[in-house]
Amino acid sequence: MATSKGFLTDTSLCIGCKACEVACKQWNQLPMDGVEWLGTSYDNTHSLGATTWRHVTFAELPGSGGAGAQTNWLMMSDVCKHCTHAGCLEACPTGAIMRTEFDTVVIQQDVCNGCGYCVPSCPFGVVELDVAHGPAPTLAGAGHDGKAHKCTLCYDRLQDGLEPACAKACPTDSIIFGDQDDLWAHAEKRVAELQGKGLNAYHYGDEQVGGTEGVGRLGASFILLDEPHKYNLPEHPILPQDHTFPGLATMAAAAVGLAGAIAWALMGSEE
Amino acid sequence: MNEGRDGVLTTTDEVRSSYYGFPVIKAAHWGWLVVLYFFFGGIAGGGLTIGALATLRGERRLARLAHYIGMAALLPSPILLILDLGRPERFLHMLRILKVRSPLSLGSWALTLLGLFGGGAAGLQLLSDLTGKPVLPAAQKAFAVLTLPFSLFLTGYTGVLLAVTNIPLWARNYLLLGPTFVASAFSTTLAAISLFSEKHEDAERLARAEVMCAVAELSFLTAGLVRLGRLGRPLTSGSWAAVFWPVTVLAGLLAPLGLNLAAAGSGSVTMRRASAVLTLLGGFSLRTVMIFAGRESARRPEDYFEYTRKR
Repeated sequence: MATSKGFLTDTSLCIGCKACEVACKQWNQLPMDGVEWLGTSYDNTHSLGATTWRHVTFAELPGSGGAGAQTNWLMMSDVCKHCTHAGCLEACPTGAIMRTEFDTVVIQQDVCNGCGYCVPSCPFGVVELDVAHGPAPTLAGAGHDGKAHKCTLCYDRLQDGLEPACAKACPTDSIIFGDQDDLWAHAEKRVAELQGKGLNAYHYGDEQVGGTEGVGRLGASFILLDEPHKYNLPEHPILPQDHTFPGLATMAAAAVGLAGAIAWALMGSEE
Repeated sequence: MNEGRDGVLTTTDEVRSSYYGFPVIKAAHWGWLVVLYFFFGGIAGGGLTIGALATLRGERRLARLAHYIGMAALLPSPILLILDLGRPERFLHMLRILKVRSPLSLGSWALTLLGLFGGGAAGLQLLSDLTGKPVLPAAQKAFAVLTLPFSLFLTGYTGVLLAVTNIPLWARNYLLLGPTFVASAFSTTLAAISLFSEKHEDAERLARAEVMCAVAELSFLTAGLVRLGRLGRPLTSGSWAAVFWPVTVLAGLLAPLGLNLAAAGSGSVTMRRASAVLTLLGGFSLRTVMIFAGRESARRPEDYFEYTRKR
């Protein structure tokens, strides 16, 4: 039985080279998303999506003190978090989204029928349907397949004993791959080391520290140096399906109550 | 204030409070096909519920109207949903499994079984009307009982479906969005029934029921907006507010309520018909604004960060 595998992305080591984005596109044969200069630091990829499964963010945070003040330039390689309790997996009505023997979350492309419910169910905005979004150019012949796509944690590579393409390509080992327990121990040591140097480092994805509660431990976790929202990550992501039973309960009560009231009004004693 | 391409803000405040104002989550792709399904699905659930209850109470006239209206709304429903899929030819994959915490999985099964039992009930109703006498009354009662859980489910589960996501406008209101859709489903069903109802003596009872549903819908909607607070802004002050306030609330809820109450005194048929038409318009607009304002809610990082704030 394989152990739980995952990523640890240590943003203190990221140099923003985007080798991870390129390796991911290359290994998975993903098309380009068009070339658009967004004017947001070095980030022209914008976000994770159906054909972008690694996305490097560059947050330029001007320091106080006017011109010449130290700028904090945060870089992070964003990816699917492979949550222990995944919103996308719990939403999927066809069973296309499954948990592999490596404890990762993968979308079976021969099952997915493109209902799109996984998309708003992801607390991190990762998974997306491959549909036309407007005049963005794609490779000739690379049409849209209408199905949901996201990082597979290189399931095909794992099955052959290789590490994921992005982890292999990362020149600083900002992205490391391994058993989740080992990654957790490594993160604890590294966070202590960074804090010793005076940085506000913490492990995002650990239930205890910072916490992600509803979605559980993140298979792909991060060592961050600033608040989550600066990296466009939620502070306390919520697993939407924790609301299913309470929501159904109030809905059922309203339905039964109103049906009874209508029955009384329309079919009550008068006849 | 520097505005980059496509309105992406690059001020220090924007960068400090979010990542260049980029959305954190992704909206569902759902559009008009789903809006139409929500509208018809609610009437299918409401119609087949009232039809089943009327069958059990021996109310033949009401059972006939409700069953036909319910089935007429049920028939286009699966077609709309299948067309909305990215891979429509794989629609049967919805029935590979049942996931009780996924409202979409529950709904796929409920719609299928409602088609079976509600279709059976409506079919027997049709046979009874064609032959002029009740066909298999025991079977009719059995189908009525079997239909009820699924028809009741259909009136409001779509609200729960929206709420069990991360879109703040829907998710923060997860306890009340289902009830709001239930009330709107029954309102629109009763409006449709009253438009086809020919007997004068039924009109007053229908109006009484419609007033109850309108009051319920107004209460749930108001309470929901209070609960949402500033997360409700895509609806109340965003680009869809121009439809929400005048069409959904004023013309679709308050005006029909007023007309029904006024018609109670005067017995005016015109007022009642106008009330029914406006209710149908309002019910359709409610689902429209809820879906499209949801897209806007997904685009606001500040709303999502508020929704996912550590408490």
